[in-house]
Formats: sequence, C-alpha cells, structure tokens
Amino acid sequence: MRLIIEGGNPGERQMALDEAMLILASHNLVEETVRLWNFSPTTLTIGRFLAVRDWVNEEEREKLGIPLIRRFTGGGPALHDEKGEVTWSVLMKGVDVVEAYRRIGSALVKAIELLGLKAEFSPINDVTVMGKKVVGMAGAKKRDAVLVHGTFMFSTYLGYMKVIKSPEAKVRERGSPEGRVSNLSVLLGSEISRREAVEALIEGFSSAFELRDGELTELEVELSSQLKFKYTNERWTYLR
Amino acid sequence: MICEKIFRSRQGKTVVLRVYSEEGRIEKVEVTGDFFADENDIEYLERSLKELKPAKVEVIGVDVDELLEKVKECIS
Repeated sequence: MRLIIEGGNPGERQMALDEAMLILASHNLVEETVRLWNFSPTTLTIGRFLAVRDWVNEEEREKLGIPLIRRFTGGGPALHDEKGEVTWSVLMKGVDVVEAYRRIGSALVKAIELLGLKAEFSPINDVTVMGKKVVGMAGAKKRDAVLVHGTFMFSTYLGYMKVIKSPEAKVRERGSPEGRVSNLSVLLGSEISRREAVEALIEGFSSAFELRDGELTELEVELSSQLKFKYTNERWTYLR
Repeated sequence: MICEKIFRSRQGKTVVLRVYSEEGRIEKVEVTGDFFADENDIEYLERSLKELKPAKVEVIGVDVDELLEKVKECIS
C-alpha cells in the first residue's frame, strides 16, 4: 500500500483529491493508499447528508472566518484545526465501509497507544480515549473501492467546537460537541507535536497495512484539479 | 406543511427527517443526518418514502423501516 505524506492545503483541494482517488481506484487506476495531510486554513467539514442549518453555527463560523466544505463522505461535522490535527485518508479495495472502519480503527488505536494513551475503537466510526472522541472517520464506497478519511486530534483547539451545532436529540444522548470531543495532548497532560503525531500514525497504519513510500500520479493531480470547483461552489456546500 | 422528526436511530446516528405535505398529500421527503450511504440510494430512498414504500438500500447507521415509521407518523 502506498504511503503519501503531505502538508497543509485548502479544503477544496483536499476533498477533490480524496474524491479523485476514490473514482480512480474504482476503475483500478490507482493503488491502495494511506495519505497523511492537513487542512490549511482551519476548516469545518460536514457530511454528505447533513443539512447545514441543522449542524452548523453559521454566525460563529463567519465570526471566526472558518471555511465550510461539504464532504463527499457521510458522517457528522468535523472541525479540522490547521495546527492541531493530522488528517488522514485510507483508500482500500474489496472491503465494505464498516470493515474498513474496523481495520483503520485498530491502526489508530495502536497509534494512540504509542503516544502513551489507551484508546478504544467505538463503532460505528469513532475512536475514543477516556470516553472522549479524538478520532472521527467518514467513508464512501464506489464499486469495490472504499475511501475513509478522518481526524487525528493531537492538539485541536477545542474552542473552535462552537461552530458545530448539534440537534437536541444528539445532545440529549451524547452531550455537546465541546463536552464529548477532546484532543490527545489534553488527555495526556503534555503537548504532542505534529511530528510525534505523524510518526505514531505511520507506525499505527504500518501495523494494519504494508506501507511503502509513494507519490500522487498525474491522473490523480489532473482529476482532482478538475473536481476542485465542486468544493468551492455554494450550490454543493448548501445542497441540503 | 412541514413535519419534522429529529431522532437518534437504533444504531446511534442522528436523523433529521422532513416531510413536506399539502392537503394531506406528501410532496417531498428529505432525509438528512450523520449516516453513511450512497448518494443515489438516498435519492431513491426519499422517493420511495414519499410513496410510503420501503426501499432496498443500505444506509449504515439507520434502518430504512425506522424512517418509514417516522414518515407514517407524520401523516397519521
């Protein structure tokens, strides 16, 4: 499996690239991949099937100047702190989305353990430490290809969580986003650097997948640049 | 008229279901939430629910019969 390590890029590029990878993998045109990256600037993403009015505090988001991107994957909203998160994507073939969550979840549990914390995979798509969510995953399937991407909150500024609005039914059962989400540095009681987080992720993913260094192909770069328009278009962002 | 049902599914996902109707006839059903599915399947599901029929689609995190039940509650 190919390992690609990248830095920060705007949300439209990151989503377009993940979608391009999934499309190309569904036609057997790219190989299975683990990609480590991050959003720059800090971005709020929402799942493919969420209505913005139910899940986003638009007033707070605009006040903080945080861009909003609708993902092509399902799941909930996710705040991606430019400085406090490593975002990751895993492209797999021949598995269903639930099985992909389980396999990736075990790799992430391992990565967190390497940083000194005991983590648990919490089905369907979370990883928690001491009952707090530190990883969220979101996936989509196209033919026999699955792409799952997610957060690895090593030092996410939790004050940003106020841009997320949760429906009352969820707050009653799970609590507010500010209360149920944390970051690994807070839970460990000492600051984890990006480098330490990336190293732990590489080792964690290596425990689940056979990784070797790789690069993006021309096809991925070309198709992703064509798909970028979708993620900057308000008709897509406010589709629901 | 809009009937809104906001609930946690049996599998633990949050669903916001909106049924738009006029004079007792369903005009549109909108299913949103933090579940996982294929986009074409959700469009098909919304059309089926409008006709009060179950759809054979896979939605990870929500059972289709739960959604049909809620739509029926809206028009009862």
